[in-house]
Amino acid sequence: MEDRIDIVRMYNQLQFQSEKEEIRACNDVASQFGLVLTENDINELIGSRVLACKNIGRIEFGNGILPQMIYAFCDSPYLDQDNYVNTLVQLQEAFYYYKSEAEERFTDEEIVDFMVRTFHGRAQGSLEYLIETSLADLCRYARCGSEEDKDEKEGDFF
Amino acid sequence: MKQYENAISVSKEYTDASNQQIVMEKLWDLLKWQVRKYNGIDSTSLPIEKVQSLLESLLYTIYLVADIDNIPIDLIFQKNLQDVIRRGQTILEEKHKAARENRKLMCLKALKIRNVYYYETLKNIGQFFKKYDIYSAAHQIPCSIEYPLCYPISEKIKGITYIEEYICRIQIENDFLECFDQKQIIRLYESSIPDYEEMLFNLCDPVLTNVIGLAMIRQEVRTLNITEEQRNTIISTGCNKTAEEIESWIKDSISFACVILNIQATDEIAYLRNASRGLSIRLREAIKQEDLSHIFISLLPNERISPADFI
Repeated sequence: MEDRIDIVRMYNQLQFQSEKEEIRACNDVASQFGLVLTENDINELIGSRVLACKNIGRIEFGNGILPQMIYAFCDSPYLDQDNYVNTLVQLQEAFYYYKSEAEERFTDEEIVDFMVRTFHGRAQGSLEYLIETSLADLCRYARCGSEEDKDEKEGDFF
Repeated sequence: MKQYENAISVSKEYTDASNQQIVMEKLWDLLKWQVRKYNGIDSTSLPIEKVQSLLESLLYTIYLVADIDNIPIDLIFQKNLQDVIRRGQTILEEKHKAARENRKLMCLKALKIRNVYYYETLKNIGQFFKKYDIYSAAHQIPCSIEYPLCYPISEKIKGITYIEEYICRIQIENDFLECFDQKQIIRLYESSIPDYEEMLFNLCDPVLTNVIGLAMIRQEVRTLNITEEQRNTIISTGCNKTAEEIESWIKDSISFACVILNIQATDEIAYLRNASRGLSIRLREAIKQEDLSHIFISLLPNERISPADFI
């Protein structure tokens, strides 16, 4: 690996600025629901995204999943300013983890859409249920398929 | 494709230079462009292994253009890299087409000697042309190639360049073996590799070795048979020779054999010389031991060949 160009280093140097700008712009919409990210929050979220991608072994080429995630979750009745950043950190980490776990079978939009629907539906705002139960089931479904008659959790998928 | 052998490390050296940032930005933009084409609107991220593979494919294509269009590496990074990639893909399409035709010729002129690995590999190369992806995996060889060449290709050679070279080398080996009576070739295999139809070995190798042995003592190379007396002559002639002298003796013998066999193409002669590189060390050791029986093979008489001979 020593002879290779370090893609992650390339990425880190060039990506942050436009990513920050796009997350900052999300405040315009999220603030209408009482949710605002400070510069420190943005740095923390980007830092945790970089770490999540590094640990999972993914490279982000766009401006990350956060803007999409913020627009999708900002109207959630389960979010308030106190748990906003922490929830985004966990959602973002879960997104990248399950994106890889599902072996690229779902698009970004499909996963985010699934997360929103489950979080507001069956999970009733429980991150633990969403991440450890529903997303894990979704990945198993993606990899192995499901037995339609027997799978009681099918409601999460469709 | 010599330049590509060091593609990734050279790029790193280049990015260590004063214009490091510019090259990195250009490569990163190129990679983003390629990822967008690969992912479409489905996803903005990819597993790192896939990204590395895409980057290698891009670098392979860039270095191919540099090689074909004779552009120095440091200059090619100053060009619009998307244009370079498009030019590379055109070259790859042409190469794909030409290699496919060459593969057809190779199959039409395939040896009529049964060997599982030889025929399986010729068949498998056909898969390459179905699966090869010039857009996102140009550096890969998506088929199984097990049959070994007499003079192997460097593992650093990748993609269609490897296949082109493999087909070219197989054709040279086929042409060389065409110079001999097939029955004699099979007798040679039967005398040294009883289950030659199932064995993983190069069909050209034992023939070339015996041809060199016969040419060393200026005997008729087409017989492919080296007797005990002839082996002793080689030992007595070679015992006082230095390593360099033995090497030059082999080289000279190949030239002699090529004249006898009417092989005139310089690339074929060069290939046979390269293929025999390892022989000089083995030969020098065997001469010291005064035993060449495992290098230069005597053909067993037809009537004597039976499985019992090999027990």
